[in-house]
Amino acid sequence: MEASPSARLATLLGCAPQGLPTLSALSAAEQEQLCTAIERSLRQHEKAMTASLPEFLRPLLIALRSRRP
Amino acid sequence: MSLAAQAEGLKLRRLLGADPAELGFVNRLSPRDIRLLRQGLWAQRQRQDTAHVRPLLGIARWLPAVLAAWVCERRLGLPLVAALAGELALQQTLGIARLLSPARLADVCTELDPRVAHDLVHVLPEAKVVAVACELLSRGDHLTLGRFADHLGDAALVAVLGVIVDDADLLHTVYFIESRSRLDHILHLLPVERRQRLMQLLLHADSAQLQQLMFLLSSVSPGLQAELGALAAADTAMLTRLLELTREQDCWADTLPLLLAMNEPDQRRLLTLPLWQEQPELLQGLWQAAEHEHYWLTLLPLCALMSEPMQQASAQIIAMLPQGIEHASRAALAGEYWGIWLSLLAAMPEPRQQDFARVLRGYGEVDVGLEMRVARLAGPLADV
Repeated sequence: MEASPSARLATLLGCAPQGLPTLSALSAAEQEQLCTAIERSLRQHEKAMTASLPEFLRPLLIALRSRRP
Repeated sequence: MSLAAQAEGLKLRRLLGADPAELGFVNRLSPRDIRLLRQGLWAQRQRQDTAHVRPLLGIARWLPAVLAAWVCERRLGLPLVAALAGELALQQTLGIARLLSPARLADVCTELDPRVAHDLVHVLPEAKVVAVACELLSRGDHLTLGRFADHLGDAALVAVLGVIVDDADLLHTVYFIESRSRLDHILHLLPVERRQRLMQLLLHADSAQLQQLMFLLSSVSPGLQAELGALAAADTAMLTRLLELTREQDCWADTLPLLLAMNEPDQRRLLTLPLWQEQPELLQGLWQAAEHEHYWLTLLPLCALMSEPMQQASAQIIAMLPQGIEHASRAALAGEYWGIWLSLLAAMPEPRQQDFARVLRGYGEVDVGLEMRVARLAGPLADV
């Protein structure tokens, strides 16, 4: 079963449903569209973060990560 | 849709990297809800970033500021630099920020979580702040500049306001200030002539600038609204433009507080402009806003400043509002505005006068003296 837009939004923003803004002024399709835009934005940000690290630092970072408990 | 919601919608779309025409429907949400979405998005980005940044912190903490600044300027991508700024101790971030070029620092400001920006921007040296402001201004990035200005201390703020020479740039920047309570303070830091010039934008601004100006006027405190209203009232063309704009943007809910904050002579000047007769939908909008925004108590006494034809037209409109009689009667009761309310009632059709009689009898069940007193004041109307 597909999650409702508010459940999807809570997952995307990592917060409890009661901490969410009220979206009732929007239609279900608009709420879906908003969730999709948020999801896309978070994904793009994640990609940009990964690309932010220069190549020469990547092996060092992997080594550091593997040393962490 | 309020002007505040439009401003918040713009900020959210920018953070989402959405096309300006995309997601226009979010403006139908309340400004608070749009802001909550934006804050939620910043918080989630920060949680995502932690995984990338944490392994670097160990190195970054031990790097001398000069070397860290070089890496941030030349080697690391922008999102990572902004995320690092949020994780390092403020003093260390400041040490690096001082050494970054204004262009790079301006880049970082666009990506910086507002919660981090607050602490950092507040302690940046004034010369650096001004250089970054100039950089953002040259890029036309008013949104980041507004967010940046939001966190400045007074001395830096005055310096930044000084470099924003163009009034349209100033208006655009102020439009994006996050905290409405700061707006008053910022406008008070401007010389009076500058505030006057901002108001004069009413006469020749484009529609986006007018929207920004209306937002500004509706966002400041009643004291400043009265002052800005008086500046507009000194010029009939400006007052007329204000009314035209209210009709065009359908933003009575935003204009009404400004009208209510004006002093009485200015209110009279506004309410007797010929435009009210030329465009009857203006009056309709005014009373509908009174009903939606619960402004009866403050708006009802203003009817005394209206011309007789305008009072009669108002009476006809109030008579058509589903709860107009009940709400206006309650305002008359709370503010002792029976004189003006009864004169409006006299111009209404008989069925609505009977509605009022029923409301009055309800009051009489609690206070017989009041019912008799109002009935006496009503004179012939009491026979209905």
